[in-house]
Amino acid sequence: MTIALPAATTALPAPTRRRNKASRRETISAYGFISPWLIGFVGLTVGPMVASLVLSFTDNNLVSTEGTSFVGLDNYQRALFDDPLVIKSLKVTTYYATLAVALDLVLGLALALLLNAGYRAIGIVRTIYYLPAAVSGVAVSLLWLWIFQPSGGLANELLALVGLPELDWVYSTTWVIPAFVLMSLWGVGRSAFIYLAILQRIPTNLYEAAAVDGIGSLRRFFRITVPLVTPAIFLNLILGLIGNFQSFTQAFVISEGGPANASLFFTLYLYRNAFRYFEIGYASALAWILFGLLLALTALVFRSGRRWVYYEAGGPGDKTA
Amino acid sequence: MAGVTRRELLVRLAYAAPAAAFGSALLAACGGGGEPNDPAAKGKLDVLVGFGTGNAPDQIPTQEELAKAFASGGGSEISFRRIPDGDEAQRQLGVLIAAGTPPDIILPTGVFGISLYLDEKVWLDLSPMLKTAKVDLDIFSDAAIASAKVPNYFGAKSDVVVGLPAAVFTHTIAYNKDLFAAAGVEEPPHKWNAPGWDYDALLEMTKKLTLDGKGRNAADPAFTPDDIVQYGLGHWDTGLMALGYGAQKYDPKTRRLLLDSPENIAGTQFGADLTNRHHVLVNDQLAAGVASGADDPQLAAWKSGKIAIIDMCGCDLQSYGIDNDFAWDVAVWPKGPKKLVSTLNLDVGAVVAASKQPEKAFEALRFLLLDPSNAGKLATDGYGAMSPLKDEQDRFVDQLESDFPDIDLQLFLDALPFSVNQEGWFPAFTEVGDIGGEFLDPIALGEATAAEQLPKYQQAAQKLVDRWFEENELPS
Repeated sequence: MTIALPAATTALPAPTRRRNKASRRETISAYGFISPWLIGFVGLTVGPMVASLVLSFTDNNLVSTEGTSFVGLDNYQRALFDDPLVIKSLKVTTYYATLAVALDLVLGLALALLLNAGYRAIGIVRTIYYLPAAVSGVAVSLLWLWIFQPSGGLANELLALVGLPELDWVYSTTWVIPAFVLMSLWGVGRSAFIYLAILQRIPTNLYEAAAVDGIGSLRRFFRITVPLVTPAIFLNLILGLIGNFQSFTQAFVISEGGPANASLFFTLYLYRNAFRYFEIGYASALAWILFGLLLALTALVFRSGRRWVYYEAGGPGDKTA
Repeated sequence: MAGVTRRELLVRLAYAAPAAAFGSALLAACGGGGEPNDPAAKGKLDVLVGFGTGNAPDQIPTQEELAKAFASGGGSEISFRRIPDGDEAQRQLGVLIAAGTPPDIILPTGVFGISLYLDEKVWLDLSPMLKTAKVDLDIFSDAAIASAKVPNYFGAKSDVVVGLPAAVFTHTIAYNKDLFAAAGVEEPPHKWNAPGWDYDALLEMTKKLTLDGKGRNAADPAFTPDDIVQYGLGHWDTGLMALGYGAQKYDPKTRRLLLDSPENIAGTQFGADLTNRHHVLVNDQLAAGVASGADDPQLAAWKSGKIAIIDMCGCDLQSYGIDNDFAWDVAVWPKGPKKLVSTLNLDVGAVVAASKQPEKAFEALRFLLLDPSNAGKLATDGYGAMSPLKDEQDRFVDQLESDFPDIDLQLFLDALPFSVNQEGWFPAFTEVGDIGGEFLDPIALGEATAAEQLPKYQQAAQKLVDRWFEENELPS
């Protein structure tokens, strides 16, 4: 005995089929439109990444005529255990990134609070504060090199004004990293604008209710503002860590890693290996070590974020959603 | 477009976009756009200029003129690839070799540039071609050819030549006559190896020429180092002073660096003390204060008329020697405790081993650097240097006499017997140099002594040398 299936199970009704076809066409169109970027991403980002991963296991030298050999984990072993400058550059980078990120988080929020005020011409003021973030790194470095000149530089002129002793800034092993940290604040407008976007979404009735309850402005800041801007703090922390661990331009332009390697950022050392010694294999291993480090740091921040980042109901961090 | 809706047009565009992007990528990958940048593909010789001098506007016409003469005499057409920045030129060389479109010739490059890429066997050994062409290398001055042969790598008795000498720059000192007159100090001698003219005499002289804001010199007990308005020394090579103490960087016989030798420690400390203890030498950072806002603080400090003595390279005559608002002259370097030594900068022309037309490249070098007339012209007019050819060296003085009528230019020629090149190869050449800052900067800054730092430098650098020998072999 055969059972005849209802027609509906063997063929979809015509409107559904048309809808699926249209949907597929739309999907294909969407991929078509993003395909120039996709091709660029695969060809210019993923491709070189895979190539550098492969190269990191070789002794490839860009200019050598002796060919390339597979060396297993030798490059990684050399970097992690035999090369004192790797450890030195990691220490320098961590010191710089810690200070720069911490100051950026605090001052960015402070600036955002100022820019959130409703006084006249606030649009112009906001633009002015963001402008430095759009200036080329090399130009900024040259400007700050002048500011940090021990004799006649603006920084020491300001110190002298308040009666403090002059510093050698980028010529000093002690002060070169603090000088670069100060310089990094030039771009604080970028993080301030991320804070600002969140600050402007905080409902004013929360502050009004708190004021009615007699809560002072400091407590309002710590009990309302700070918890509600934690997503922005989180984002700025992630971006700051990734960006600052990849700092390069200021050390390349101003100090060339000196004095006494006191500003030898990891990326500068990586660059030196790749384009001065042409040791592409070893430089690739360094790049993957940095990638691994940043991945681990980011994962750590994401993990800790569950405890201190407050999302509104339905947000990605909301456990009740 | 008749019959095509907006939606259909967008869909077609969506299909066309990836095809266009893929096509462009394919075209680029297949080298469709690469040939215009590869002169060799057109049969031209690709000469990279950027490893030193050679790109100043007044140097270019002579090079172009000689290139034309070579082509019109049946040689290949020469295409100059000019890269004004030295670091960028090094990067480009690496990238061009890796891309399979290497330049044929690097001209000029210092011995430093040769040393940088010796390990990677970037340079072609010219000796077989030189033998075939029956070239007698005795035509070059001894100091020039000795440095060009890279004895630490190929061995002192090797015939290998990886670069033909193209230009020689010797060093003297230059001094501001007005400051000497104002201080009532006798001018330094104009005769190499003059009796009594040594590092201590230089120190005593520069103390009298270093003044604080109240006009007291550095020999005065009341002198205030925080308020110096005029320095005895500037733009100085303190590293050379260690050689005057008898220091040597590397011993090829024992394969050991000699960075912590007593001579190197004493000489390095003497150099650092000039700034930190005696306050007579303006370093870059202090020079920036003397001439605030200048791109080249040492040059600006000298031109400000507040520096009494500087090291003067023949290559710096056209910058440090012109447009000065004070009377100046050159004199000789003082003698160190062990020997009299001055700096020799040597530029050579080298053929890249990966060149696709090495014979043609050698012919070009032969025309430019071995023909006495062309070589003399290229060195003097093309690079503002002294020719490495013995018979052409007087040309340097003849050429510059009109520009510097009051300057004792003969001293640059007389410097040759005392001049040493400090850029010679040793194992792990670049790496040892690069870690140097870690140990040498604290000495220069007065934060540590040479006796504390140099043994540490020796230990770290020798490790690199030992590793070099584990991974490489010297040519037999």
